[in-house]
Order: sequence, then C-alpha cells, then structure tokens
Amino acid sequence: MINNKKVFLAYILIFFVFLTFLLFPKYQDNTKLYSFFIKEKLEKPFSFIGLKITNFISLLKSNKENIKKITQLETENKYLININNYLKTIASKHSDQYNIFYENYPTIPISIGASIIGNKNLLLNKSFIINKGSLNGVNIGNYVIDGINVVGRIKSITNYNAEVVTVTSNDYGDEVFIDKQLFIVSGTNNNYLSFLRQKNDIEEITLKKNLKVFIKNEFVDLTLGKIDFINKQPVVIVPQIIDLDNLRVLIDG
Amino acid sequence: MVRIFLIIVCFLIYGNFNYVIDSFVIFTLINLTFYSFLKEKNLKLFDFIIFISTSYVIEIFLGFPLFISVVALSLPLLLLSSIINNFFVHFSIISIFIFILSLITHYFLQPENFTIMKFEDYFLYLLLFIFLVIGMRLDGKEQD
Repeated sequence: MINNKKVFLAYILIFFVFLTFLLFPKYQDNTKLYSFFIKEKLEKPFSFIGLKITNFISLLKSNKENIKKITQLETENKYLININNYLKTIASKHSDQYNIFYENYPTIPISIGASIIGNKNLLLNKSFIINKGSLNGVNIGNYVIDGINVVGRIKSITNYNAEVVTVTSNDYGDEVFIDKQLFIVSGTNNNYLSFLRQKNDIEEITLKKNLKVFIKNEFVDLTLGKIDFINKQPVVIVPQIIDLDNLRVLIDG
Repeated sequence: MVRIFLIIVCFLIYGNFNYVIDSFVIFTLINLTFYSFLKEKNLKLFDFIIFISTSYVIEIFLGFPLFISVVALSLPLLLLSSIINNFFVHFSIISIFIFILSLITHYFLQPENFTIMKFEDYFLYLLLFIFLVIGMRLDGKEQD
C-alpha cells in the first residue's frame, strides 16, 4: 500500500518518537512547551499590529462619537445662547431698575421721620418740638426737612425730644450758597430771611431775583428758598407751604 | 504551500478569538489531515509531512499525546485511501466523504462545542466545505 519508501521511513521515525514520548513524558511536555513558546513568539508582531489596529478603530469610533457629541453640544449651546438673549431682553427692564436703585442712585443722607408734638401752629415762637431725641441719633444742628425744603434746625435736645428752630425764626442763621457764592442769612420771624453779609467779603451784595438758595450738606444740597427783593433789599423767600406732617431729621448732616 | 500557510495561520489564530473560531480552526486542521492523506492513492512524503504537522498541531491544542494520531490512524487511513481511490469516484463525492469524516472526528474530539454553537456558526463549516471541494478539484486537475 505504501509505494513510497520515504513515507514508510518517516512513519517508522514518528513511531519511535511517539514511543519515546510515551516512555518519557517529560520530553513530551517540553516539546509542547516549546511549541507554545514558538507560538507566542510568532504571535507577538501580529498581536502588536492587531492591538494598534484595534486602538485605531476605537479611536476612530470615539472620535466619531465625540464629533457627534460636539455637534450636539454646539446645537445646545446655540439654543442656550438664544434663550439667554431672550432672558436678557426680558430682564433688561429689571437690570435697569437695579442700576437705578443700587448702582447709580445718589448717596442720600440718613434721615429719620419725626412728628411735631408741641407748638405745631408756631403760635408762641417760630420753633416746635419733635418726638425724636438724642437716643434716636438726633444731634444739635441737624437739619429738619419736609422732603424738599429745609424747615429748620435742631436747637436743643433731650433723650426723646428735640426743639427745632424754623428757618423763618429770629434765632435761625446759616451759611447759604447762591450762584456758587457763600452768604450768611438770618431769620426775621417773617416768611423771609435777610442777608447779613457775603462771607469773607465786604463788597456790596449783587443778586438776581429767583436765584435758588442752597445749604451745603455733606451729601446733598438742601433748598432753602429763592432770592427776592423787598424795598430793593435782597431777601430769601422761603416757601409758604411747609408740610409739617412729613418731617425728617437728617441725622448725619 | 497553501496547506503549510494554512497550518501556520491556524497555529497562530487558535486561542486568540472566541470558541467558535477555535472550534473552526480545529475543524480546518482535521480536514487538512484527512485531505492530505486521502486525496491521492499514492501517498507522497510531502502529504505525509503535512499530515504529521496538522495532527501534531491538533494534539498540541487539544492536549493529546504527541504523534498518537499518526501512529494510530495511518494504517486505517491507508486502507480507507486505497478503498476510495481505487474506484472511480467523483472528486465532489470524495470531498463530501472527507468533510463528513472530519465532522465526525471533530464531534468526538470536542463534543461540548457542538452543544454551545449556534446555528449561524455552522456557516463557517459550510465555507470550509466549499474550499475543500475547490481544493480537491484543482488538485485533481494537477494530477491529470
């Protein structure tokens, strides 16, 4: 059946090798180990290339996913920008209000409300008593205003009350600004104040009618009245209507 | 040369992929073993060496004693070869015979694989059968 001698010889050789392996299992085990060692060595470059290819493919995949994600995020970002712009437009009104109330609003002096508790009709003299005293932070010399105009100044205080001398009172005197010039005025018990003199100046007073008279305060200029002339003499006319129900004491001025 | 290349490829592939591929590699090697032995009436040394190599690789992978298949199967296979090659049988019939023989051998070597494998996994086996037929045809032509 076997015409080829070489095949027969090969079979005999393999037979003896098989017998050797059967009789000495150690050689068989070693042969197996060497075979796997060769397999591992041969595999190495292929596994390296395979790993590189796998990495490259996974990188491409992740890249694709990331690009998709970026596109999604960009769309979302655009949407959010639009919403933001819309909300900005809606909130701009509030933003302006915020600016008015918190940013650009001028610093106003701290004041407390006060009510007249004595001599409201100014019958006895041109001063009255209010229900705020030193414990409320009121000091002598503090201005009392009716919201816009100066009504008077604190003359004397107790813990809970204070006496206010009105601007028209004989006892009232103050420094005022008229057209950036400093003057000293005094009450006359009438509805006007007379000029004593121009501060630091002995020259004749030259004033125009209806000029506003201010009192310089730390934070705001308080309006005292307007210039008028009586018998060609300049006087400061105070407003006739004084709101005595809405008095405030500037406690830091 | 194609068979040597195939043996090397199988040698490298085994153990690096899933059980389906491993099973297919073993099946390919079994096919190569039978094909090398049964394809001609007169057994050449080169075919015998291929037979030894493939059986050696199978034994290594499946943990059988080395060269046991060469020693034990050579004589029965010689007998089988003389039977199927002495009659005028179409190469496709021989291919089917080798394929079925390989499938039976594979079943006895790794019966657990056949219980795990799904239906679609057998398409690989079908692919091998096609290549077996093609190989048989080409080899037959060379002989003519």
